[in-house]
Amino acid sequence: MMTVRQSGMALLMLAVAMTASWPCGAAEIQPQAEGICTILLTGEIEAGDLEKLKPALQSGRGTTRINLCLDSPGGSYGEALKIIEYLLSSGGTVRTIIDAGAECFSACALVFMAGGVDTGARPDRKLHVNGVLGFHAPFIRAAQGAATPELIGLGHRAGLRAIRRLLDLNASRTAWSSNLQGKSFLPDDLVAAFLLKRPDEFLLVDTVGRAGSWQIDLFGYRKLKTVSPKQLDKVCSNDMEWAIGNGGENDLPSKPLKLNNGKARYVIPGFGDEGAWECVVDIYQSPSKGLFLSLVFASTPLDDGGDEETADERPDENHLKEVVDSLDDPLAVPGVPLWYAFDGDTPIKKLTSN
Amino acid sequence: MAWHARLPALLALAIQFFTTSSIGAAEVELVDRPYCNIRLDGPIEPGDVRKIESAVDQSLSENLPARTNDRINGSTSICLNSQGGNFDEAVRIIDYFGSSVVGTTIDAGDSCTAVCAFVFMAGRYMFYHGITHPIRRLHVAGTLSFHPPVGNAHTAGTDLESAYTESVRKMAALLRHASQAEFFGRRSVLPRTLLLDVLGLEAGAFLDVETVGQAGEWDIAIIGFREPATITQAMLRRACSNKAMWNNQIPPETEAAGNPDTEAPVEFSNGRHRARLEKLGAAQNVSCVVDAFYASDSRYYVDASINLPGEKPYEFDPGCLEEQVRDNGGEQTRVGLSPGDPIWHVFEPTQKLADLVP
Repeated sequence: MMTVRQSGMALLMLAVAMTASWPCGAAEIQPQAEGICTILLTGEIEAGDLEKLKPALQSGRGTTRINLCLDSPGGSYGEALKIIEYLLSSGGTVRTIIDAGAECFSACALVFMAGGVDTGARPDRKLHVNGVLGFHAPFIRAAQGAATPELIGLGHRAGLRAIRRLLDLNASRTAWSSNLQGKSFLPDDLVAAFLLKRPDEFLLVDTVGRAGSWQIDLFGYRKLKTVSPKQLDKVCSNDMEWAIGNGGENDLPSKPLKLNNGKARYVIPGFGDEGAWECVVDIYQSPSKGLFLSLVFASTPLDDGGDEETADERPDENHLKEVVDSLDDPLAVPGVPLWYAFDGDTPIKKLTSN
Repeated sequence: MAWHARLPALLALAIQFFTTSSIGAAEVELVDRPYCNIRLDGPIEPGDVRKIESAVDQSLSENLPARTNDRINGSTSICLNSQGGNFDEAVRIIDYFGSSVVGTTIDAGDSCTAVCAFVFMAGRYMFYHGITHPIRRLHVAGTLSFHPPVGNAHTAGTDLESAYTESVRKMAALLRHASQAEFFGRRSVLPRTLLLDVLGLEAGAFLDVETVGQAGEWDIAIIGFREPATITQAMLRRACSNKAMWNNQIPPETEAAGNPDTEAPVEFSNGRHRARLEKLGAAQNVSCVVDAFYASDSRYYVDASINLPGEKPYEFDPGCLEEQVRDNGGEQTRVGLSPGDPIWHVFEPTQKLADLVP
């Protein structure tokens, strides 16, 4: 929770609330020798936790990717913002993870969203389908006092400043067109939604659609072994819907596609305004790593087939295989995740693998 | 703005804070003005959105006024003159403008401050096939002034915690609109930098939109300004650097590298002039092709194409701007929807709007 403990003097209380907090069982930060986590942060986030986290993160800088696992009920809003600022300055090298059975609420959820955010790249934050991620608005706890106009005005301004600090951090990492480019660590529509959640309630990322819309990658789900045109259409539709809110669906067969030497390319027309784009999906079945997909939306070729630009928009058909074969990170997802093949309203718990 | 001119706005804020009752809601009426066919005058209070809905319905059913360009592509436009008022009612009006596509204007001599300024930013018109674009027009002799959403005794609760929660709730309402990016993302009801600047204001402070640079950055159309009597090379360079800054967030170059910054008028051939400018932007890696056209209505028009590094260079057909002017010039320019780029893009970002009054 983002709480500030009670004090006798409400005015002083409020002034302290936005600048610091008192430690009360601060988070534990432990390097992990095994499993997917490089570092595990557990417990309530309190003032000073960034200084504890820094050495652990810096000791892992030799590796290409630090996996910061989170299991925390939340804590200090101010300290969370400090941690976020530090993560955002790391050039996207710190991936955040909520593993199976872990919970990440409130201030922890904000820290989670700062994972792997780099300009121009997809954020790298992984939620296990058996993990829990919940957001709510920052709040204060203050002693009851006389309701003078000055105090109420102070409370108002403190709330506005708290949100401004969050937006300011977000703006430093975002282009103007944040919703389209996905370069902000917190999508504005997510912020607008969780600011309405009171201290005793949460906005849970509990469906495929919420995860997709807010660029949170899922893991630990049952993987597809085959894929049909109908499923590929859903992948394309979801990808477009979650990026620019303009998805659409076609009536395609549900029989699995046959692959040739483990590969196939499937093109689905009719996406975008006036159906101007087609979805070009590459499929690759790695013998050891499983099924992978990648997609691009390309301009629909003209009837005479003479548009050179549309050919430029399509990747080489071997591209996906080359990327997958060179992968040594089991959590990395080149292209588009397989869970994009599910309906947006599917509860993520239903995707649990055996 | 002088301090005494602030008195009505400050009084309105004080009244919002200390009272729960309405002090007289806004008057909403049908008008026949150059920029609008509905006018809202006075403090925004609960119930005003119903008056606006009724006026919009009436204006559409009576097909008023006859000038179609005032009702840009079927959209209604409302002139705002208000010192602010009830935040929640303002949000309801913003919601209504979003669903019904209503453009907004602050006309000469009018003022729109506090929550009225947020309502102003929600103005939009139907651009194409259900896609809307912002259209919020500020007359250079009008006043647009932002203030953070303050509380009132009715909604802010009786203690610090509820006051804090109330301000967070208001931010959620504003962010819900800020997150509704328009076509291709850049055009937002509430641009992020504007929201941050407003939230950063000290208690009692206002943010006035008073320069060309502010209007350009926040996608506010300027109207009623003194149009340029000539077009110079320096003006065309500014049209490019302004567009690169406002559309692509590319800071301007510190010096006119490779671009002679001459104030001599450019020459037109059959009303057309095309300039190619290189080494624009702080990194001097942006190029621009800008067309100027001198039309039969004795107006200048400009259209700049920004070419970013690494992208395939693009330029319009040389006759494109002239064709657009012929089809859509004149009246649309007057109401703030110029073919090409608005001609005020040729002004310095620091240019004061008040100094552009004819």
